[in-house]
Amino acid sequence: MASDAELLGAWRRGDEVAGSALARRHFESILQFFRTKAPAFAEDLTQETFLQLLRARDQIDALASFRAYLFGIARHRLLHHFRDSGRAHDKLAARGAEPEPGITSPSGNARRDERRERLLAAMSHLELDLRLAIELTYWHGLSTAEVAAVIEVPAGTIKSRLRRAREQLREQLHSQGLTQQDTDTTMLQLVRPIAGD
Amino acid sequence: METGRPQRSAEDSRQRVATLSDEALTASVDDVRQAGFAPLDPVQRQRAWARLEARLFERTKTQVLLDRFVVLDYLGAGGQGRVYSAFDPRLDRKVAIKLLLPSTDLEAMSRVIREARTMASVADPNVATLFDVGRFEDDNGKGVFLVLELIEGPTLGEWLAQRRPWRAALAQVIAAGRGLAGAHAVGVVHGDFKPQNIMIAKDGRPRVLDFGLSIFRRDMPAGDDERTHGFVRGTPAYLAPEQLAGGGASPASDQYAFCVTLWEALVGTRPFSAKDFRELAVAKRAGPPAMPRDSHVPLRILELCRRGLDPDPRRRFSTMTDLLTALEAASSVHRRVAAIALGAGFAAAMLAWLQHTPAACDESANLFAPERRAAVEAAVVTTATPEARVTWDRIGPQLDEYARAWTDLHAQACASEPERSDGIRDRRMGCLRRAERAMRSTVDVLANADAQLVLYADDLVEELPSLDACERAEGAAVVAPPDPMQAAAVEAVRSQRALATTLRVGSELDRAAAALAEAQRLASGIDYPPLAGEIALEQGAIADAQGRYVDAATAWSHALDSATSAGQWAEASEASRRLAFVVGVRLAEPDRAMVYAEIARGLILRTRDPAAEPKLLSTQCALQLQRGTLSEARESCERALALFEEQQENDTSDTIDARAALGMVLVVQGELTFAVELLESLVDDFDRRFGKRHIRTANAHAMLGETLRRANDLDAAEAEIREALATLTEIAGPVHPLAGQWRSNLGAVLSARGRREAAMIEFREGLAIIEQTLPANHPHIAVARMNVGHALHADAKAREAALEFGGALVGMQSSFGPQHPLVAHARHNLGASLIDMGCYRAAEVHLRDSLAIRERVFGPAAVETAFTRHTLALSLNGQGRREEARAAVERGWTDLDALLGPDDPQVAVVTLALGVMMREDGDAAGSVQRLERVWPAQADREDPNTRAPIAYALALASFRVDPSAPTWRDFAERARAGYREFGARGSERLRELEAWIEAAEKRSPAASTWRVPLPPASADCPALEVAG
Repeated sequence: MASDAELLGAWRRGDEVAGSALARRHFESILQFFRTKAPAFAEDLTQETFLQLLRARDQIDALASFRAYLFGIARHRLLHHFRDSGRAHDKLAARGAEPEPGITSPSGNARRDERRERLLAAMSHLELDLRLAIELTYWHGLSTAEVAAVIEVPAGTIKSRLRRAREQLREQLHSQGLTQQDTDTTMLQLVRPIAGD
Repeated sequence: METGRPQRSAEDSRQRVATLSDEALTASVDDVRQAGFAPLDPVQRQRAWARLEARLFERTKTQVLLDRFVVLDYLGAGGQGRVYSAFDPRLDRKVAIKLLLPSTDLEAMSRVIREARTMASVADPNVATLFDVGRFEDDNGKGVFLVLELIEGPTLGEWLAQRRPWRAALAQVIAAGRGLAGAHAVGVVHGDFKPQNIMIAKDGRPRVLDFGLSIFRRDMPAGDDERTHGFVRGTPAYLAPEQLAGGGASPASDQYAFCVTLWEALVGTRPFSAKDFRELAVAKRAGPPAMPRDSHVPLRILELCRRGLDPDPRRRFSTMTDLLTALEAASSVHRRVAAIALGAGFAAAMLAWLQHTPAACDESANLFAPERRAAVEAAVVTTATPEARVTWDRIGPQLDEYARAWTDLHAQACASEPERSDGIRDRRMGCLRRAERAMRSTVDVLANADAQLVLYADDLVEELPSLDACERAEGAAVVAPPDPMQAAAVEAVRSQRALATTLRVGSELDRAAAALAEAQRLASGIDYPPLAGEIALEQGAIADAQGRYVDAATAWSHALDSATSAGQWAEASEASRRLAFVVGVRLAEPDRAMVYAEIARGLILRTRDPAAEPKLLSTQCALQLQRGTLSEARESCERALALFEEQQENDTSDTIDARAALGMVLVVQGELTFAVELLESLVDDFDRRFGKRHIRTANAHAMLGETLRRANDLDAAEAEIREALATLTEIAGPVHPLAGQWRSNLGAVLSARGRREAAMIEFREGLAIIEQTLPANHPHIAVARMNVGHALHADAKAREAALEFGGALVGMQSSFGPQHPLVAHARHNLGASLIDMGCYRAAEVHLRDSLAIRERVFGPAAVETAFTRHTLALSLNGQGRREEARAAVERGWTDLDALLGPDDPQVAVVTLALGVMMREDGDAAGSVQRLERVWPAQADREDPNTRAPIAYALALASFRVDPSAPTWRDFAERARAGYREFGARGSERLRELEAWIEAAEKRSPAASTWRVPLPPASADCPALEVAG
């Protein structure tokens, strides 16, 4: 399996099949990235992200992480989007202004869906970059260095940011009246392997 | 700061967070994948990718495929999946595809697939057809998708939003309800029925979507910030209270949702409103909503709706079908063929009926042409009985109206487009042809009627098939015979069959059998499957009418099989219902019959014939009565009658059956007053409708008489039966099978009043009439012989009684088989007579067989069983097996006394035997005690049969206890008086008694050891037949 760097290189040399494969590999993560924060615009923003990638493709220097680079673009897109639509900070509830009905699975996972919703709601109260730190670490599986690159802070600060983020989350969940145990369980939602593992 | 509850400080919370370190969090990964994102379904993903790729690489979008389907547009998302329109290149049509996402709950997934497959097998006009279920797999997992009929049109909610007249709204919701009922019939529950799940297709017919997918739903109540306890699936406004409480979906909860929808559709607002989930649950649990104050909707409809909104699911309607039937009846959506006042005959052109080919569309059909009409009138009226004219005045207009309604429908059907793909026209025409055949054969038969047949004229008219069914055009698709030659042959068979039916209803059973045999003969040369079921159905009916119940069951069983294979739901439904009755009631195997009743219930849904429901309920009532589950029986009967009333079928023969059954239930329940009232009202109804001199009125009197007899009002019972007989004699002459039955019943009444000789006359003459009018092995003959036997036995003519009982036994066995309770009854009676003859050994054999049957059928401690056990004991006693006998008598006494109490005549009989044995075994005091207990009730009875021997036994026993007390003399006197009443046959006993009194006066020792001799063991006993 070719690495991101290899595919990118081939694409720069004009190989569209490689470009397609590279885009395909990452497009869902980017889509999901946008879906949790701007669901109605997720597809558009995704397309814009990749178009931006295309435009910048030939200027990219050696990359430590393609993925981080891509998420960096996405983050900028998101910030632009919020500015343009007049929102300083996306405080949408987890279900969003245009709810994408959670396609859920039956019975046992119902509780989990409930918890996820609560968690997302709590997360929407966080500062964006703190939120990103959480998402990128726990849901997209980025390394500390990659996360730092995306949100443009020194790598060593990530751990403490994560701690602060979790703290704030706990406060949020508490303020929703959850018991200690529920909070813990909800917090566990943060941890999961990435789709496809 | 208050004591007790510590405030949380920011410091504390930080501490707590710190205790859950990164490592701990990372390490404690739970097994849930994709906790963060709501997963994309593969179509979503593909489409998004296709769009991105197209834009990125400036190409045209590639097609997104799911299996073989080409995904077109995104239609929307429901609670459990996204829906796309798609194109199926294989079948060249557009479909809708709904994707359900993968799950770790494999069981739930399999369940959805199973239900989907079941739903796919239901081609219900009101259910969105499910074409297929598919699985898909992509790099994110496996999932399931459903391929559905693509319905273009508004949801019911959207449709209703444009103000609709309540009748139209009702019709639509009822139609949707039928889809629901159809699914229930195959065992699938919807779980989330609501207006958004019903779509009105282009043809105007509503389709219900999303059956059984409620397990996938997760619509949280809007605006609810509170936590929900438990997990509730579905849209709260429509959920039943039991679902809100966390219970699962069921047909009853579907009904609830249906009623919420209906209410909303009719009234315009939701029945329950609340600001949050909890309040909603409370409101629903409090009960159905109040009636709206200013609604155009008839209250009776809303009332039905409210029943479905009862918080207790058991108090809602039993099935959706019940509810729908009630709704339709209440809204008079149904058109009845009403009898109109005297009208002109039908004038039209010539007809094709002479050749008995069905009216084609280019001819004008004339079902009741003037010359035929005149012929029928003449035939009926010239029977020259006074009620003939009245009969004609009644049936003439009914026949006119039927012909007229038929002609209208026929014209409409002919005018409609021939090529409608859903086959409505074919079904209508098939139905109309059937009605035409029935009408023709009825007219033919009536035109040649004799006085006997005219008695049944009303039955004949009632038997005409309902034209409403033709209008509804429901039922199985008609499979036409392929070529015209064969079509004509099939028509001929069916005409013969119709003739057979008409003759049977007119009670001409022999002619009916002949006509059917002819039909059978004609059918044997044709390969057209539906005929087999049709013929078998009629065969069963004829056999049943002739009392050949085993044959009837066989025939109906065939009919059920054939009709089911040929998809003839109406025939199958009738066959299973009749089968349930004949097996359960006539052949007394109610457990086996329950299976058929279940089948009938399922088939009713297929036929969608509202008239079938009360008939089935009536049958179920009879079955439940047979099984002894009285409260169920009562409920079934009452419901049947309510439905009959709603359908305005108050005085048909089916209603008679239901009322008679209910009357029987009431009698067995001990509600004798109600039973009598019920039958009295039946008499009134018939009197009013048909007049005094009608066979149905007479029948009603007879049934009332029978009920009164059981209620022990013997005066009134005698009067009613005499009335019935008088009427019958007037209108039908003295020789009629019913006359035979009723005279037999009259005999039973007279016998209970102690008028032996009169009773015997009635029994004998009744039997003679029955033997004359019914076929040889008819069970009624056996029953009548039993009655004669009873009377002989009571007259101490044991040998003659035994002969009758033996004959009855043979008849019973041939009609019902060797294990039937009536066979047990016959054997019991035979055994009792044999005992009196001194044939103890033979008696024992029969009694043991009877006991075995009764133990099995009634249980070991039932009255009949106990009594047989007692009688068996007597046969043992006669053989000298005293200990066995005594033990059995004790047991019999215990059971019967517990069941019936000391005032019951049967207990008296058993006590007598026990008392005698006790005294003979030396316990005179005990004997006195037992006998005195039953004496008061016997002392006042008209009938000396038991009174005298008990008095005798008491005299003997009290003498043993204390010869000096005057007690024994009193009893002796009573005994003497009693035996005198016997007349000639009591003379021997009387002499014996006198002799004993003399001895007792003299205090001779013989008086104390006196034994009433048993009949001596006889050498002249009938040959033993091997039991069973």
